[in-house]
Amino acid sequence: MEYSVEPYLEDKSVWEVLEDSLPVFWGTEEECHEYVNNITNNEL
Amino acid sequence: MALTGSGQIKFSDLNNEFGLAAEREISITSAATGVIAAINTNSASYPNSTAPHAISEWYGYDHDAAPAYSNTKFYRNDGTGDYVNGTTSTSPFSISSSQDLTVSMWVRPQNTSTQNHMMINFGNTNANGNNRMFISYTANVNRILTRYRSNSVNFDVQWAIHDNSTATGISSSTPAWSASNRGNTNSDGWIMLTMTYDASQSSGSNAFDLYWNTTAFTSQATSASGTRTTMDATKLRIGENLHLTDSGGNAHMDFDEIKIYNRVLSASEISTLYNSGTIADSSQTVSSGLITEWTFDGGNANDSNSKYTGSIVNGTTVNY
Repeated sequence: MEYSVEPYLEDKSVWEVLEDSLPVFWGTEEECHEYVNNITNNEL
Repeated sequence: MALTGSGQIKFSDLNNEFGLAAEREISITSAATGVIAAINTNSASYPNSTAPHAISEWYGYDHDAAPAYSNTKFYRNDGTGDYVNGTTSTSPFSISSSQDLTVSMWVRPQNTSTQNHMMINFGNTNANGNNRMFISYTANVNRILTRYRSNSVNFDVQWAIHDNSTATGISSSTPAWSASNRGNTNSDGWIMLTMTYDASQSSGSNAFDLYWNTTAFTSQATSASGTRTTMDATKLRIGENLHLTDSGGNAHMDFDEIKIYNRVLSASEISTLYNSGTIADSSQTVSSGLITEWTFDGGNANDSNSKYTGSIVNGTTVNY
């Protein structure tokens, strides 16, 4: 899986995690990065 | 010439219908069973199979009636590298803040484990996922997404399947949508999903509606109303992201009768599309405003109005 963190709302108040380009998680930018880090660490 | 729809029918009319000389005798029973000439059973009115036949059974018989649509095949995307690819140099429609759209399709989840599904997306590039309109399913939140994404800006609605249990028949976020948890379906396990997009609305919340069979979703999990940039729909994929070939979002589901309209269909028209659960093409349901449709009955990815050059990559068409 490839993950990216991008703004969900244009004002960047909500961000989202894209998993292979499909949105799977929403939160602050920090929460989104934490979500990705947790998944990535679990996959190692 | 079709027989009259009411009033008197002469035996000479029947002779004429079958191209027989006026003096020749004609057995209606034989005619009904195709001995003299094949009765066009696609006509809305023709004699039943029980003799003796009443003349009234012939009222409205139309030997020139168009053949009824027969749904013979569907498309299966197995979740691993399968998709339908469509390309064109002339965009059949635009994705914009002025072009209304409706996308309707029959789907049947086949996944036995948790699975995201990119059901359909169309946009102007295969290079990335930043310019497209799509309908997808995200399993970990059990949501269907209807999104217009342009220049990486989102205009969308996310619909939790379990929060719309009246429509879906699914009241919990777990287990995820799957072959063993399809929710409300027709007798063969199919669901008709229909997204309408009212371009004149400035918010995603008001622009999108989503129907599960004939029932509109009423609960939105969240929505976005970002700036929309006009783009062509020269690229299309069913079952996979536009820019990927074997992603985690590769749909594991069956598809049939995918239709794109250039207007917002009403709830009544969507009920007509549903056709009491019998999967049918636009000629049998709603044809006004149809841009094109994929029936898969030809065993290929050709769309009915030849708007795209279609190909099936790895997936298969399956006989009913």
